[in-house]
Order: sequence, then C-alpha cells, then structure tokens
Amino acid sequence: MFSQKGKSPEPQPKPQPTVRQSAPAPRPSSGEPSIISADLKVVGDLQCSGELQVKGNVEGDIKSRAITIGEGAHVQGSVMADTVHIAGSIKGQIEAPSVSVSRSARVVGDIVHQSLAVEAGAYLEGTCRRLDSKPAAGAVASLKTDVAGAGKKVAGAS
Amino acid sequence: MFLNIRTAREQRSGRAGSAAWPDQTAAPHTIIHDDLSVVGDLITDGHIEVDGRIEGTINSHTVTVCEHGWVEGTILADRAEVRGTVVGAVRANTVLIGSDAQVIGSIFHNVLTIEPGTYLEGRRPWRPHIDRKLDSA
Repeated sequence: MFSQKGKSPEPQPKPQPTVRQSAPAPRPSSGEPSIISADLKVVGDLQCSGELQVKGNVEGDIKSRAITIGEGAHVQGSVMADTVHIAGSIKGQIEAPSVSVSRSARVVGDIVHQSLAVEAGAYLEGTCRRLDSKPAAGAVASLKTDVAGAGKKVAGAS
Repeated sequence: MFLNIRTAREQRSGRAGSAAWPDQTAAPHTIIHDDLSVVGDLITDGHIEVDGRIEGTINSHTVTVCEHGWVEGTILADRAEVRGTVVGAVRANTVLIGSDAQVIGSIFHNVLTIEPGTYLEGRRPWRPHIDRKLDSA
C-alpha cells in the first residue's frame, strides 16, 4: 500500500574541484597570433611558440616563431624568431633567418639574418650580418695566416 | 545573474565585447594566447585576455584570465574575470570568478561574483574603492 514509487535518486556527491599544482604544459600553437595592443607596455621577456604581433611597448627580449612589430610599436631588447617583420621602432639585435624591414621601421641594432628585405625609406643603424657567418675571432685568425703566408712568399722571392 | 554569465561565455569567442563587459568593443585588446609566456609586468588602460602564462603584475582596466590562463602575480584592474588559475592577489572593483577557476591568494573587491565549482584559497576582503594608480602591487 505504501510502496515507494518515484523514489528520489540518491544525491550525487558534488565533484571536488581538482587543484592545478603547476602551469599547464605549453600547448602547440593554435594558429592565432597573440597581440600586444597599442597601449600595452610590457616590462619583461616574451616567449611564444607561435605568432606574435607587437603593437605596443616592450622592454625586454622577445623569442617567437613569427614576430610582427607594428608601426607604432617600440621594442627595447633583442628579437629572435624564424620570421621577423618590422614596421616600428626597435633598439636591439634582431636575429632571424628571414627578416623584412618596411619603410616606417626604425632599427637601431644589428640584424643577423639569412634573408633580408629592406624597403626604401627604412631607418637602419647597425650592422647586417649573416646568420651562418664566421665569428669575428675566426676572421682575424685567417687574416693573420694570410699575412704570414704573404711574408713567406716575399722572403722566398728575395 | 547566472544567465548573463553563460551568455558572456558563449559570446567570448567573438572577441568583440561580451554581455558581461559590453563596452569593450572599442577598447584596445591584448590577447595572450596559450603559446605565449610573459615574465614581466603588463601595464595598460585597455583590456587584456590571458590564455597563456604570465609571471608578474597585470595592471589593466579589464582583465580576463581564460581557462588555460595561468597568472603568477598580482592582478590590478577595474574589472577582473577569472576562469583559469591565479596564484597571487586579485584587486579589482568588480571580480567575477568562473567555475573551474582557481585563485590562490586574496581577492580584494567591491563587487564579487563566484560561480559554483571554484577553488579559492585566501581572504576575500571588501574594499570600497580600488584605485589602480594608488594601490601597490
């Protein structure tokens, strides 16, 4: 007579929130570029495995796969990437296999590259050297052997 | 109240403002994706969306820490929405802590909303007005 119909289900235990102990492992790039907008100032280093667009101020080093420094951007520090496109101001070394500098760019620092494109009107102050060039010490050593070799030849001739 | 939060989550993929923060369409928008890690401070008067890793202070008008975001340091904002992990203090006038968020540190707020399912460790003191310029990190 008093059968229990429609017995209410037992209350489910609420799932305990799992506590994340450390930062998640760096994920592969989602393809969308990260954007440092025009009014953002970053005092510190940036490290990205994907694409990064800098339109603001960065005081520090930037390492990424692809970097675009926009027209109003100011970067004070080194930039290291696979591809760098510069339209803004940078004070520091740029090291990338492919570098392109547009006419609105202002670069004060060395550009270490394999492929370099510079538009007419760009402000460049610094040396441009190849990514696979011999170091300066090696260049001096080879110069000394050349001089020694020339000296021997002269001694032999005279 | 909770209907607004669900709508905000659905609309966040549009990236041009959301029901929670409708006046953001014109604000400068910084996006830190999950492949970017910053060791240093970020200072702006616009909006920052963090889906990556930040070690340092964030001083912004609005801050959104997304699900994969990890912030180690202080967040100083007018409005802060946390859906990821913050290890450090959150000091904002309006704070929204979404479900699955984790905040290990104090939350200084004027208006605080906490969804069920969060992990919070720290005090949550109420302060009548938080000034980003005067408040020290």
